[in-house]
Amino acid sequence: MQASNRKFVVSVTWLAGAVALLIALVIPLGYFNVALSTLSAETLVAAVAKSEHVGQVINNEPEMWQYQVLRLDDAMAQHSHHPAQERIVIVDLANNVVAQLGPPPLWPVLSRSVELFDSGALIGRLEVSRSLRGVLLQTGAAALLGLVLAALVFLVLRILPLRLLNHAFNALRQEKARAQVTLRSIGDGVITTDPATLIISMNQVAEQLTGWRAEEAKGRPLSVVFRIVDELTERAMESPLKRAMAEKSIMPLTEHMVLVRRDGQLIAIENSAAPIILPSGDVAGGVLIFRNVAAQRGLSQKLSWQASHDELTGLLNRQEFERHLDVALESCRAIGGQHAMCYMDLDQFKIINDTCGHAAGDELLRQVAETLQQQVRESDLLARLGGDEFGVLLLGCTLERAQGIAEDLLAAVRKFRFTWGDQIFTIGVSIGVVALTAETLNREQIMSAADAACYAAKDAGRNRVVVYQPEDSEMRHRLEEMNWTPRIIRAIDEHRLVLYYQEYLPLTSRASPGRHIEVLLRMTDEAGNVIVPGTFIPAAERYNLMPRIDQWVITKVFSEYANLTKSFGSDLSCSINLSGTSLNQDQLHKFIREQAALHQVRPDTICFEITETAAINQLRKASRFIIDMKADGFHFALDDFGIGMSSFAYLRNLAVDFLKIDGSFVMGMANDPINRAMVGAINEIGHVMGLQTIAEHVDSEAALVQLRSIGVDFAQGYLVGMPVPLPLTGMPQPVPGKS
Amino acid sequence: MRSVERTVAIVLILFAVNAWASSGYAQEVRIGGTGAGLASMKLLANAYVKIHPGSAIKILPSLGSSGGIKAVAAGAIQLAVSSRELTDAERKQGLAAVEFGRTPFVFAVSTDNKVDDITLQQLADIYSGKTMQWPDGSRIRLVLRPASDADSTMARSMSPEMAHAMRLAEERPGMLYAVTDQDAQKSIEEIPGAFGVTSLAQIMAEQRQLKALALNGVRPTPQNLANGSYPYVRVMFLVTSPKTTVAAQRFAEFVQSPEGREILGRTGYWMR
Repeated sequence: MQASNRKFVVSVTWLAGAVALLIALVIPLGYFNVALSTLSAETLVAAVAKSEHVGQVINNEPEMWQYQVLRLDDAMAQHSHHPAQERIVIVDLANNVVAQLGPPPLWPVLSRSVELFDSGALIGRLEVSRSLRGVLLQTGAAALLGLVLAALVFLVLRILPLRLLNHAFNALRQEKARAQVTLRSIGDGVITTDPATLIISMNQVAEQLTGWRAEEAKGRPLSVVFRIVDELTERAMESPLKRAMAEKSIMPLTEHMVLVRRDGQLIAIENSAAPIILPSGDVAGGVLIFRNVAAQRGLSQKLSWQASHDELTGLLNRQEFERHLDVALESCRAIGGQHAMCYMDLDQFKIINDTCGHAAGDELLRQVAETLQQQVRESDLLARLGGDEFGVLLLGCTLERAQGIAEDLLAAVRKFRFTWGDQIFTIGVSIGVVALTAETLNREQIMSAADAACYAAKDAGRNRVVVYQPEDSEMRHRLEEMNWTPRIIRAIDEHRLVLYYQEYLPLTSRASPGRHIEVLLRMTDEAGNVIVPGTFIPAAERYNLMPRIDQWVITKVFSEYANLTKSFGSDLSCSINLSGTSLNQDQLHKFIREQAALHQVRPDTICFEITETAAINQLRKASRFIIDMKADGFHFALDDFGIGMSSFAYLRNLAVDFLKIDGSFVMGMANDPINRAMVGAINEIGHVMGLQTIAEHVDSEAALVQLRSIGVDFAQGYLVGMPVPLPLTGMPQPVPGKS
Repeated sequence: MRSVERTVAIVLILFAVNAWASSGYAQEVRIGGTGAGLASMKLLANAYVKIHPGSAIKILPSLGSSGGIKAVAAGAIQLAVSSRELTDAERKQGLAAVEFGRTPFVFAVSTDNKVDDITLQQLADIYSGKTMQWPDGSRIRLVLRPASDADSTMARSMSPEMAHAMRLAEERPGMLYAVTDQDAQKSIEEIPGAFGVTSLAQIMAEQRQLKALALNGVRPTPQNLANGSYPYVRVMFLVTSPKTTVAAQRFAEFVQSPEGREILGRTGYWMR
């Protein structure tokens, strides 16, 4: 490289010198040539012109012309632009000077002469001489200029290209060094080849991965050094570099590729290839980049397993199970296959989990999973669906066969003993079995049916197998309830829960002052039709949606309370229903308190209604809740009192403020003395306990009259007022209350 | 006897002819030189021939003073008329110059021109180009002589202003030049509004339709030359060489004779 550089420099110097020399010579020589030619021509022209005039003198005085000094002077002076710079001499044939004009010119001299004639006879000549000194001086100046120009040209031609070249070489060297350092530093293997895929260079990582040293690999075909096979098929693969160069585009990462090292060792790799394309569009070679992905591939496989399996039990998880379910359903529809599914819910798992702790619960689940796995066929897919719920997809299985397998599973679980510490536990399992047929709509339908069957098994006493029967009304009802769940969730998300209210009518003077209303929940369907609570509340309660709904109601009423007081007056008292499942929420008290503080709602203006049944079912929790809430100033009412077969003694444990007499007693009291007596008894006891009483479902004047006479404090019902939409923001105003 | 007598007669005739020829009157005398004196020479030659019939005098066209001197030195002519002194180099050639008269150096216009008098300043203005018109509004057309001519030299010597004005005149483009005295007089005579230098003797000898202007009020006459009131003079010389013939010498003597001086006096010369 150095030698070629020097040679280049010498060549450039010679070239520059030659050009400069040419310029240095051409300019003065060219100028001199032109100037000399011009001067010669001018001198000749002057001589010719003067000779014309002299000729006239000769013709006029042929014998004495040579003595016509003045006329000759005048003739010689003609056509003289610079008379001081030329000399004109007229000589005869003997070369004697006849006349002359002008000073002798400075050396060197240019002379041009013309012959003089006397009627055709040569008698002498006229010579005009001019000095060449001016031309020479100007030529000298031109030579100087030429030298200067030549020097400049030499400099430009010699220095500038070399400087530019030097600069380019330096930049190239830097880039090369940078590229080499980069290649050494990057963690990927890099192999560069020529267009024929013969290796030009390899970096260190490439050496390590291939097992070839760069010097050995240089010049060899890529396919010899970089041998790859498909991970799955183990077939030899062609490197994408050839294709990249052929198509002049970058080939992206290739998966499932394994590099066969020189020593035969296999390494999982990912590689990409790119062509090196010159500005002319030609391919100058290619670059192959590859890396060892053995660890990542193992990790991704692991992640892939983890994404589809339950970590605790090693079984398929719900997501993967549902995916297989979809595939199975598709096969039913496509080829008419028949499959079945079992939905299993462990019995008594909660007891063991609560008793022995979550570690025991986890171990129990693991062991149960193993037990279940032993009972299913190889083609069956066992999954943990969540909690203590399992599912089995029985592929290519009739319903009868599935039922048989389910019975086996049941027997295995019954036989299963769980030892934890020094305790031994038995558990049961409720199994719902459902068939997958071509008529099955979708996965949700199957899951719901299987769940319904499982629930039926639980309802029937647990620890049994129930096959889903579409014609079974109970099962259909369960299914319908299950179908409500997503509808309710959608209604909440799409703001289709609506609040109504029904006002109480105070009947006695002991009834607390102000206006009292009960907030009632409604739902609208997608078409805007109102759905009464009786339709969706049971499903919401069963599927644990009530806490969310109750919180929504509380938030809505509290946030609108200021507007409600504007509509109803500042002495408004709102009753809000709380479900039993909400009572079970530990955070309910905190939630209500926070909402009241947030929206500046006075606790004494809010009355929570809890059904007698819900309170009794969770007596301890309900009692604690009521005490804590009343301490904040909230009021409580015991709703639907009298139908729960509970004794009045429970009332002592529930520090409620109002007793709502169940409507079933009120509606018939006009004609039924027993109902009337019941109402009277409840009212009496309520009053004795310091509670105010409210009669529900008052639908006739007769009942109202009797309620007044009995002394019930409030009446609520269609007679008093129909449930109407609560005047929330943007909603219509309520009608004034009746008294 | 008759043949002898014939022969003697022939011999005697031949001897007489030869003697006559040798007497100097029969030789042709060629005279050339400045045009200013050639007309006067013609008059003198006519008078000489009347006195000496058989003499042959040829007055050549103007050669100029230098041309005439050169010709006489070469023997091409026998007598040269010059309006300048000989140079040392010319004297070294054996040439000799004798003054035969003086005539005023004049500024002349055509007789049509109303102007009679001119001042030195006006002269300078005319030559410098400051004044371009005659009083009657007509154009002044200067007839210049070559810068080396004696007339030009004389004009330049009149004053520093004239010297400067002459230089300006010579630098002005398109000026009219007359090489010889005859050309100059012809131009002044014929060109409307022309104005130039010449001599009184030439005007009178050639009987030109020209008039010499008074200069600063002094008329250019031989009398005013004699009394010094008119200072501008052209001195005329006859130049001879060692080759000058007897006949030429005789003519030269005639020029200086009373007859000759009388003719010269009539044609504008003043003889000292």
